[in-house]
Amino acid sequence: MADVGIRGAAGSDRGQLILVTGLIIAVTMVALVLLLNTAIYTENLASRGADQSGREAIEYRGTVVEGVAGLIEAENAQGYDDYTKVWRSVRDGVVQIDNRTSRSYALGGTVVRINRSAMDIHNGTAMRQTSEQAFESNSGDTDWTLITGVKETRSFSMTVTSDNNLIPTNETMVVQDRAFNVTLKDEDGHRWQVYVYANETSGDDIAVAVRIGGGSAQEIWSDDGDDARIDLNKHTINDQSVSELNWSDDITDPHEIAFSNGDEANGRYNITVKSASVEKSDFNDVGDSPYYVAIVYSVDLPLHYESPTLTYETTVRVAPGEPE
Amino acid sequence: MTDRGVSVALSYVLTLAITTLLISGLLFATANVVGDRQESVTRTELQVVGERVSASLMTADRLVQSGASTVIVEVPAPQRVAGEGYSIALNATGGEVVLSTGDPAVVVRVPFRNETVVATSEANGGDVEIVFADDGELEVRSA
Repeated sequence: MADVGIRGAAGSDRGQLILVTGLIIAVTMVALVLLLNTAIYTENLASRGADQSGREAIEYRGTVVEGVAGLIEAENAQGYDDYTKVWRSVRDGVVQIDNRTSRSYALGGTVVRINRSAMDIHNGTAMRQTSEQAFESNSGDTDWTLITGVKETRSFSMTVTSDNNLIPTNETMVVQDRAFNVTLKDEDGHRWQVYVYANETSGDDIAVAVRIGGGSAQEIWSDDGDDARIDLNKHTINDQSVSELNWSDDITDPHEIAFSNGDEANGRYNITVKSASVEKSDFNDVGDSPYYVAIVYSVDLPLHYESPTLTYETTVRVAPGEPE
Repeated sequence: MTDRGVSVALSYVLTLAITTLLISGLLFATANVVGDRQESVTRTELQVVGERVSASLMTADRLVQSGASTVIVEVPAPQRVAGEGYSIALNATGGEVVLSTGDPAVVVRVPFRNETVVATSEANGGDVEIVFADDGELEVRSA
């Protein structure tokens, strides 16, 4: 018989090598199991959804912008004549919005905050003449400055009617001296003017000319109609695009707006600008043309959003009525 | 009578030798299997972590592009991958997240798209955060 073992008892301790091998393989398998355990964890990690908090931060921003825009529009519609009052109303409204959003987001485990101390509320003025009358101040001044220190213009639309009040001429000097005009002047002394009169030669009922600085007036538009709806922001007259109405190349901000020869034309206007330096004594109370309304032009809001997975800070500018 | 001409020592040696050969072959194969598994698991895990970092980076990029002054995105990640420590790096020029382990040496690259400038930066494995830094660049940092 083969005599492998030392003791030699029949078969009782044969194959010890195989036993040892089996043990070693078993231990190795245990290590393999631990390894595959991490693989399972990884698969689980991979199946978790992508992080949604980026979208939530943008949603918060949208909520605040929408809320504050609605607030500004509502307060502007109140028709305040005091800049401090409208400023304070908007500020109190923003505080309310902040309190409510903070509370509702906190319920979901997110901290949101509008940084009130760094918030910027910019006042503006809306000047309106809603009934058809001469372009004069409330005390009858025909040459008067409506507002100074204009830094931005949101809307500037005028409707001048072609009635007998318009100066009938086509001579440049008469236009420059006697026709109704709107003058924009900046702090460097640059001037830009738009005149409205009736063209005598062509027989058109209403004509518009533009004069830059000390040059002579150039007619840019004329028509045989009832009125001219001039929009100095969109650069249109009666919805036709007129590129010569682009004054921003010649006038820098801040600038002032003045009417001259206001008794030589009748019409309405609606001007909204970023400035609080209106000549209050030249206007009537709200609703009685011509009048001005103290508004909030825009608000700069620093926002803070913090969730367990995302910290996000940004400053948004809320300016309702402005194109994107 | 059946074992005439049989040397005891030779039988002994032969048995041992063959058994040892077989056993060592078995052990060698097993060790190989575990080694292979480890490398494959490491690769898969690094790929998964890399995809998460890449997705978070692109989220941060989108937030910055929509106008943000500060963005910090947390990315939870395991401390070790298949028992090995690893590192997460951002490669700005190649536009990819590079994850690598020491032993076995595995390198995984996950591409990303960005509009904001990304700074080439590196962090140890584990929870990291993507930060829109003061210098206007996105970088990865240990949380």
